[in-house]
Amino acid sequence: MDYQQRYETLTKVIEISSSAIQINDRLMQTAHFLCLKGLAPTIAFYLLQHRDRRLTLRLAADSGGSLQLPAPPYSYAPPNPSDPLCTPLSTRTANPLTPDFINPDDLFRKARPYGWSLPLIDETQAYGTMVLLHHEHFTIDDEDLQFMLVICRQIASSLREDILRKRSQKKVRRLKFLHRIGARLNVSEDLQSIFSQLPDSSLTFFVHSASALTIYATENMPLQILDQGFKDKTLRAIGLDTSRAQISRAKFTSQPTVVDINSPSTSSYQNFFTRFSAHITLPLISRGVRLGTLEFFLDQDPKAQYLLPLEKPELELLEILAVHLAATVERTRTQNQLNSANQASLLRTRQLTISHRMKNALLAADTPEEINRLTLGALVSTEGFSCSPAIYIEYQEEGKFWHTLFYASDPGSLSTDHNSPKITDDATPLKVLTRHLLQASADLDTHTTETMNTLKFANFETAPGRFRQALSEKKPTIIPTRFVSALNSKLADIIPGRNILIIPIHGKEHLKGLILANADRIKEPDISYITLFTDAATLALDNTELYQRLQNSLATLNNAQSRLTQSEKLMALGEMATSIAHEIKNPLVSIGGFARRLHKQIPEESREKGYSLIITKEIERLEEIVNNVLSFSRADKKVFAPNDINQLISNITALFTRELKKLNIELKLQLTPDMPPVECDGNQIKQVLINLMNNSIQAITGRNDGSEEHRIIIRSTPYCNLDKQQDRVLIELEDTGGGIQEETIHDIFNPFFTTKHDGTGLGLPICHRIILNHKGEIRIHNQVGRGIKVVISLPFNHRENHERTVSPYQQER
Amino acid sequence: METRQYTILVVDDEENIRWLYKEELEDEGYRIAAAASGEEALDLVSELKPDLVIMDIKMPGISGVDALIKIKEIDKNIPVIICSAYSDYKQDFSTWASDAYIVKSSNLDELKKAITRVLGEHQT
Repeated sequence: MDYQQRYETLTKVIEISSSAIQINDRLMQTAHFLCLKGLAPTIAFYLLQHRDRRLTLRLAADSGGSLQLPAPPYSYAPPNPSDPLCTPLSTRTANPLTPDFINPDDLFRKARPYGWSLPLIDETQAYGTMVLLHHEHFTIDDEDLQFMLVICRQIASSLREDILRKRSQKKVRRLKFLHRIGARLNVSEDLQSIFSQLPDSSLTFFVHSASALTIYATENMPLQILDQGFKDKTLRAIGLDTSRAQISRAKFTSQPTVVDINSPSTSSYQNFFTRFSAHITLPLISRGVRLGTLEFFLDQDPKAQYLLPLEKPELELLEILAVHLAATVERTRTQNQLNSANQASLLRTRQLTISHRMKNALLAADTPEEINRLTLGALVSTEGFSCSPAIYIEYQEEGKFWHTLFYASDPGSLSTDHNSPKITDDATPLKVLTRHLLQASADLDTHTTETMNTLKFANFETAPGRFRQALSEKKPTIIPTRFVSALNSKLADIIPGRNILIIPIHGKEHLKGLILANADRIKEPDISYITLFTDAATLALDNTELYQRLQNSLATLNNAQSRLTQSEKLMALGEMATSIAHEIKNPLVSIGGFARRLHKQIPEESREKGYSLIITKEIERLEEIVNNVLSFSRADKKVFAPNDINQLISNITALFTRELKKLNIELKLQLTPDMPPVECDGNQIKQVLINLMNNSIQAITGRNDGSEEHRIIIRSTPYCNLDKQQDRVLIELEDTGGGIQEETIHDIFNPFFTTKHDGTGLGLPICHRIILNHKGEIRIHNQVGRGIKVVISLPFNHRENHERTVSPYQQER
Repeated sequence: METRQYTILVVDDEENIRWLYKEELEDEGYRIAAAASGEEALDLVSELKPDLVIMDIKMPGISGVDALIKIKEIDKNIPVIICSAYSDYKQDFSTWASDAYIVKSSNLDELKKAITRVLGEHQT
């Protein structure tokens, strides 16, 4: 090669080297050019891989065209220690190649086994070799060799430039990536969105041909696998099944570590992770707290010899990414905590407001009915829970019977009407709203209301299990409607919808009832409001119940007090009556006594004899009455003697015969003949009968409702009371006096209680007392509008009473 | 055997009653003395030593029951019949010292029977 040729060649090589095309093309153009210049029939470039310091065939050019070269990129040559290409490139000399060093796999070296290896080297490092190949042995003269080395130097500097450019480009790309990741992390709202950013952006950049996924785990959170674009469902499941402990033990180190996938510590991954050759674990640490790990799985050819495809700067970049990520995770977590705290406090505020308003409204209610109406109103209202319609079913303990009491539905028009009251409107009491709702629902569908009224449930014991379970739980439950519709077929008509809300109302002592409501528009958080609200309702129900009980006992107390007052009054009056009777008694005794004396002196069969007899008898009667009054408070002077009850009845009725006839009252006696005598005080029993007859006559004559039936029936029947082992006589007096008003029936045996204008109120009380003193019973069977039946039962023989008639001083003797 | 005439002291604040008893019981053959009060009765008991006393309870001054106790203190053998409008005094312990308790009535048959019985018992 002459000087001119050398100059041209060098100029061309420099031109090619400094052109902007890719390094491979530059090398190829250089090789072609050198071949054409006749430097060698074949020229190949072996470049040093900077990672493993091995030479790899990058490309080759052939001038003859007889050599079939495989298309680039070529596979790198397997290492052959004896190959001069593998010798250290510290020398700046070219090495001649001999056929002995032929690598059997190297096709074009087989074709052209002789050649020269020229180092591509500059002041700083070696880049590879340029190999000149011939089919036969050839030599290069020194001058040419020196020229060739200059050319090699030029190619080396071109390679250096390329490497430097690539490095700076990589740095720029890293910076861009960091910027992009940082920007994304800053705007990420939650963990999910952070991790979803990562795989495609980071791994396509860092690891070529890698399937990647991130695993995120913390000590408080279950393992999460976020596999962007990785749709293997079983993978997710396997990942979630992995125990957190194993992950954290293997991964929570402060440095990035490369873990062999097949190592025992990650054996639980094995089924899934065998496809990956390696993965990288990056700790996520923020302010000294380990939040979890970021993991990259490298999907490489398992036969690959290199385990670590990442260079140190790339790992550093990953570390920076992990720090960013950890900070963002921490920030998001704090944000989430703040958010949830804020939400919880908002929720609490709303619950408190509702419960406060409900409590006020419910506690202001006076009756259980009102409370139930309020509860239903709030449930069905669109301002409340929108569970329209709803019914309240009351539980009646007797016979375990249930029946619906209330029905409410929001007609819907209320929500659009601006004048209608709302629960949230503080100015309007809830009561008003409820009234509106119930009024509206009553007007809306009378048919439904009628159906509701006919809804009765016998025993819920036979209800489906889901229903009974819901009932036994002390909180509102939602169950599918079909479990409830088995109870009553009409129920589904009244409460349509797929789900039904069951609210058992448990009082302090027992189940009071339940509310069934349409649950289709209920959201899960509403349940807690409803619970709160029904709790308040239950409390209010209990309160009203207690209040009513209190009222009842107060009434009983008042009643008792008034009776006490009455009996005090009675005692005072009794005392007065006693003293009056005493004062009357003495004159009566005088009158009667002297009348008797007169009577004795009046000759028989004179008219005066008759007069005096009448005087004597009437005075006797008067004395008897006075005695009765005197003995009322202590009706103890009983003269017990065997008496024919029928005879007593006949004697008394005989006294009334004229009066009854005059008043057109029919008297019927239905007396059982031949009864044994009754041990009693005949006068007192007579007194009872007289009082009863007087009452009946007054009732019949006082009746002014046009009734034509004027009748008194008196019966006497023997009867055996098995309980008391006693033979008794029943005396019944039945009249057609129209009966007694129900509200006064309880007072009739109370002294001084009377419905008559001129009554003393002592008639029936005396009867009662007398019968009690006879160890008998007196009962009134009242038929309002018809009449009463008084039933007296007296023992035939009452030894106890008999003994009591023995006076104390006689016992002494 | 001839029956001796018994002296009966009638104690009652009502003059008519005293008169009625006197008339009726004299017809039965008794000698009757009468007192209008308990105090008077006590004087007469000491003075007359009656065979029997018929005593009302409710009187001005000392009551019949107190008078009864005092009479029994003077001479416990003098029988006393209480004859009162009240039946309830019968239950009172203090009346048990009496020999009989009669509810006052215009018909004196019961009283007369009691007198006969009590006097008969005291004779033996």
